[in-house]
Amino acid sequence: MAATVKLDDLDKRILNVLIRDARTKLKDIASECGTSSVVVLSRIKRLKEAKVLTGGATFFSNLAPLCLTIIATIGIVFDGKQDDRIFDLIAMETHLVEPSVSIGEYDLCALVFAENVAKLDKIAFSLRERFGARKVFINVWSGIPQDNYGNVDLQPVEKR
Amino acid sequence: MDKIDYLILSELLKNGQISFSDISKKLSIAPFTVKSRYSKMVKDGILQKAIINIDLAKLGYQGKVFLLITNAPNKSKLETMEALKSIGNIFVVSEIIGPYDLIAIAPVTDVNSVRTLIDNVRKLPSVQRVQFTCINDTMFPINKTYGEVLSKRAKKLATE
Repeated sequence: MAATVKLDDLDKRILNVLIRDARTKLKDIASECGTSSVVVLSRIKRLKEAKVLTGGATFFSNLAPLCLTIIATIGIVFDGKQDDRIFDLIAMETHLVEPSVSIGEYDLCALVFAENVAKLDKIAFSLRERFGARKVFINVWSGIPQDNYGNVDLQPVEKR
Repeated sequence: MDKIDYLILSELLKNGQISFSDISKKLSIAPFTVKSRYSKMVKDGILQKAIINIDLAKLGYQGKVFLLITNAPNKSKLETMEALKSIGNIFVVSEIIGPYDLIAIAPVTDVNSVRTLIDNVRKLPSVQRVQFTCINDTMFPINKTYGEVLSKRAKKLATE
């Protein structure tokens, strides 16, 4: 495993502001963290060099204007061999995000966005037909997801 | 939403930290237009929140766990969601339709941290059963394919 980057209190405070709103102005981050813009900038630069910050931010948006009404987690269980082309198939019918090999309940796991249920249904069918998936589970996200991004411990290792 | 809105949205989905002046240059539209369209999309709830991209692997995490939760009969799912959000490291919770009632996502450092997390969730009185599946992706808040996929989608809608 790659070496863990150590963060001090100021690093954590800066990251927490950016987790809350990645578009916060430099001078506002500085005043909230009780330091200067120059210091904030150098800390951000260090975190980028250490590849903790991978560049940019994720803007979560309402999916309705994008005509995507469905978010679902697809879990696939195989009998034996699995085929990596499976994600290409999923991507053809839906908008595939975060495709991953998985351990536990599923062998493969992916988050998808789809225009409608028919598209998802088509996928589940072809996954079984073409790839011999033993089971395909579709968990459709309903209601408004709740988040608490500030809940993630930024230094999980030091406490052990 | 008109063509310009979709183009601005596309840029913001690709990088949540892009400045108004960069969008204005890229799309050859006045900075004032970018700003006012942006404010309107925020007001209308289309743009929800921008979160800085972090690679949690650099902070000591090895992956993310998806907790698949069955709610206890006659107990409110909202109650479970509220309780889940305050368990350390869980950063998203959603109701789902499918084999399970709720999904919760949290980064994990090792096998022990998966166990501790599951034990904590099992302790909740409104939870009947917890299954899980782990993926090795460590990008926070979500894999960058989220922005890429949705940005392309917005761009496509702009030209239609």
